[in-house]
Amino acid sequence: MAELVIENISKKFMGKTALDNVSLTIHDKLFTTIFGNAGAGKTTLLRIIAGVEKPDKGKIYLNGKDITTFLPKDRNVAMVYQSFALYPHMTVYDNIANPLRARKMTKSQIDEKVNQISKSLGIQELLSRYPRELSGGQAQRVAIARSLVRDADVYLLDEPLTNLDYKIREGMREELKKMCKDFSATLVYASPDPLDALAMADRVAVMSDGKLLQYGLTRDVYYTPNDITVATIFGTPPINILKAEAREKDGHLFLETPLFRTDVTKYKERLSPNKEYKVGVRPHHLAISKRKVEVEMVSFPAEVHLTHVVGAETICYARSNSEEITIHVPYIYRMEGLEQVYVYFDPAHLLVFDKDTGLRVT
Amino acid sequence: MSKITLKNITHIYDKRVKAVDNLSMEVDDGKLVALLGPSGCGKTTLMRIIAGLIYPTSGDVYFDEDRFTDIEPERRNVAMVFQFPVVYATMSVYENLAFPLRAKKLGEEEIKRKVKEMAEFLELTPYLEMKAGKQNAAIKQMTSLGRAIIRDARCVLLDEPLTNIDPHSRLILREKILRYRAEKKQTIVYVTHDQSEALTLGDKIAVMNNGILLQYDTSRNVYERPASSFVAYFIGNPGMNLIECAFKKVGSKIVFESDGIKVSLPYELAKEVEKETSGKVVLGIRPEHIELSKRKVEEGMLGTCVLFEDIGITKVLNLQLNGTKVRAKNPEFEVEVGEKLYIRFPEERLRIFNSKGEIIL
Amino acid sequence: MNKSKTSSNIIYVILVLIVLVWTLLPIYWTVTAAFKSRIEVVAWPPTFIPEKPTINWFIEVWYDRPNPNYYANSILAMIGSTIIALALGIPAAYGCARYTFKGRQDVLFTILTFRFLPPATVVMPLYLIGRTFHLIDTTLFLSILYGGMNIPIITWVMLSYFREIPVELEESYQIDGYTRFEAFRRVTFPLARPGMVAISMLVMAFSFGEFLFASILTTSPVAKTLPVSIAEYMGGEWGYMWNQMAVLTTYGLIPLIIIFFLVRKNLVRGLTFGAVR
Repeated sequence: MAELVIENISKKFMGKTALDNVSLTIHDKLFTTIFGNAGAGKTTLLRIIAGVEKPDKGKIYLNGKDITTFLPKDRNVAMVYQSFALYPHMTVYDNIANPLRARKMTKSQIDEKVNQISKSLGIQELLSRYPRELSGGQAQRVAIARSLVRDADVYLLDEPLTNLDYKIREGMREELKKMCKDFSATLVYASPDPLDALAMADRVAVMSDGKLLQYGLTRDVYYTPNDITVATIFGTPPINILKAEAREKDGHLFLETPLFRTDVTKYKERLSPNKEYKVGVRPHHLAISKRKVEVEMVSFPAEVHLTHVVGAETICYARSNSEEITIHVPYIYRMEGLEQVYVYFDPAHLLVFDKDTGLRVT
Repeated sequence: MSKITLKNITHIYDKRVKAVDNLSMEVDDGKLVALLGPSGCGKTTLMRIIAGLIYPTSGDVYFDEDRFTDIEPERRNVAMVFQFPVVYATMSVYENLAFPLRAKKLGEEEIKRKVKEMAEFLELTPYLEMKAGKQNAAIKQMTSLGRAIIRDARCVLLDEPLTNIDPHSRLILREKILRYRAEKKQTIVYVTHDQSEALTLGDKIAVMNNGILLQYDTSRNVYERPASSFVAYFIGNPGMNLIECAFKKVGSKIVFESDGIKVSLPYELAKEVEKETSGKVVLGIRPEHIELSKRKVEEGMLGTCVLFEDIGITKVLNLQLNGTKVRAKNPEFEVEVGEKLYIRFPEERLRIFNSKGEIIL
Repeated sequence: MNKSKTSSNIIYVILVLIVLVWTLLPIYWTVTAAFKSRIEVVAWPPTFIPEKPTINWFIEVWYDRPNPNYYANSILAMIGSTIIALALGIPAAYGCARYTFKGRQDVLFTILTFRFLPPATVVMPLYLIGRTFHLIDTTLFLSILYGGMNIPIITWVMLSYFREIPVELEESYQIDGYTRFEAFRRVTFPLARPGMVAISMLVMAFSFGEFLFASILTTSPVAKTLPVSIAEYMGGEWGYMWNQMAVLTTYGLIPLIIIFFLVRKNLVRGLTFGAVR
């Protein structure tokens, strides 16, 4: 049982705010991702949880106990660094055994645990090597083994996949999620990549400029972001944002953008006529077709000027009425020169934001 | 603008490590070839051999019909851009761009014209008078690209030029490279470990692993007809499912079987597999090509969903079919973890590899 | 390819030979001079191998003057100053490498400025200070001075060593369940050891060979050091006593050589590489 409560944590470095009154509760046995761009404060938050950094304000409770002033060694929290932080003068075995030795285990206990974890991570053959003799992927596994070998209440992972080749990253994502389940571990994972969160996390906390913007189930945060910032940063490729204006006509309420017009009468209570808004639609909610088709969807013409094949998907960059639109389609789309297409989407996927506050209205 | 020909290139480091293994390929004049492979596959070594920075242990480099193996790098007239932006930090962006032109002793007027043109093209005009060292990584990389292509080099070599810059600038730079190639008909060799860069930019893609050229083909073909199981795994996101199967002839069909998997193909279509003496082959199917159904379907195999992820653009499922694990991708399919599903591998999407990993079908 | 390799090998061998001659010839010359006769040492043309080797000089300098005392004083000052310099320089370097605090750059610069002063300008004030505190003609005073003079170099060299060792390693060690001091002792210290050993060697060599301060601040066998004694064999009624000087120099080489052989394994670097990607 591990429940980690972070309460009103603030931290400044040389006058610059790194964390601004952050509060969240990390739940037991869940995979929680702290998502945010570089400088959002993810690493600082992890370091404060680990105890290697002291907060200026705020408290941290682990299982109801205030651990704010505890030394790292007294917290029972494990951490994997982005740089792996393997001890270069120790063998892989000694690296992994290190946290166990601190707990005064007997030699045979340590031996058993180290062998067990290295087997489940497929690194048995590496035990007698030194960190400098490991490849990036191997070093990564050793670092993870060193943290998982002990029964920590919370495991912190600071961008552990950032320094890896993307093909290794792909496999590690699946493994990490499986490990979280197999070990019934409570994982806190910091990452700047929305895919990490979408592919692994039960819950995600979106951070920007030291502030926690939204925290909830990953799918909720993705499909119903609180505001335009969350919508923009949490998603790849980024969401399309357009200016819009609400207009009333014949008892119906419409949203007009430079590209399309859509009936939003059902949101009448939340939108006011003649007011400006911003609307967002995720690239993968857009579909393209070379011919105009009659469907119950919003559509507008566009010109595709660049495509980018990612595995079996394609990101298309299009222009329409001098707006740049990104369309993400789940198949391989090859273009020959500029192509005139029609873009379609289901208006149910449209997110409407207040123009000034950025808060989501529908 | 030259054709590049590599003939039987082998390079061995420290008399032990074989970085490039008897590799031959041709890069046609005016084409962009992407060298793709995991780190340590030898792609960077190969590029440095083309540039002349490394002397190959054996084999030859030709530009057009001329042998260049013994020519020093500075006399090859090859432009190169590295993963980490290389700029003359204390010089202005203008001076950086003008540098190769000054080396060629061009007139000041001509230099000015060419630099302006290049700056316009790369959207560097606002930075021309600023110190190059003070710019962010993207501007620096744009500058080093400009410096590489401002002179008419024989070919341009790009070594993971987009790896260390932010995603937005990456897009811009990518578009610039494509436009430059289209306008100048320049021969470009582009090294990357990122398949999406390779698939997007390359006229042809050379997939390498362990110093060996595994496949050299168009992006469509490396995706649809991978020459080996490694290419099948490496291309794709995630890569192809590879399942080791036993096979036998049953009536007019060949039946492939593994724990939880049973697929049959018409004998006429699959008879090539009979040449495989080990009795085992590897069945390949892309996750995005697997058909899923909650209702019973003909030839459907029963499996359990053990992992379901909604990553926005698509849903990724891990399926357990008895002892075999299979990854599937489907943009619309919604399912709960633990639910039973019927799974079908469409015949036309199946690929078969022999025990050495070479494609048979 | 092979051709160029052979020629580069030849150049390599020649360069090594030049370096060897450059460093070893003066030592050889000194050591052989210690075995030569008074005539032979100044003979022209010089002899490379002593014609009639004698160990008389070794015995003479040992009993003729209080050289054993001087010798011991030198070793004491060397050990004392090295301990003082390390004890103060390493914490200073570690602190400046690991903590950000106001005026850190100023602290570092101030430490460095101590080294800017030409020793000759501070000898007189130091003499007066020493006299006030009754420290003239004590090994302790020499140890403190030599130690102090070497704090800047230790601080600056170790600063870059500590900075090179990622702080994550220490943090990780603490998260593994150890105290901060243990993390320093078991991670940072072993990784910085090659630097510490190398810099200690320099400090020892400096302290052992220092002449100016020792010649003015010591007056009797209680604290006089070997370099001072060597200088006293110059001039005087016997003229330049080359043999005695050579013998004392040879004696002086012994502790440094012994120390070097004891610690040479620790000078090998390389463990720090690959710590962090």
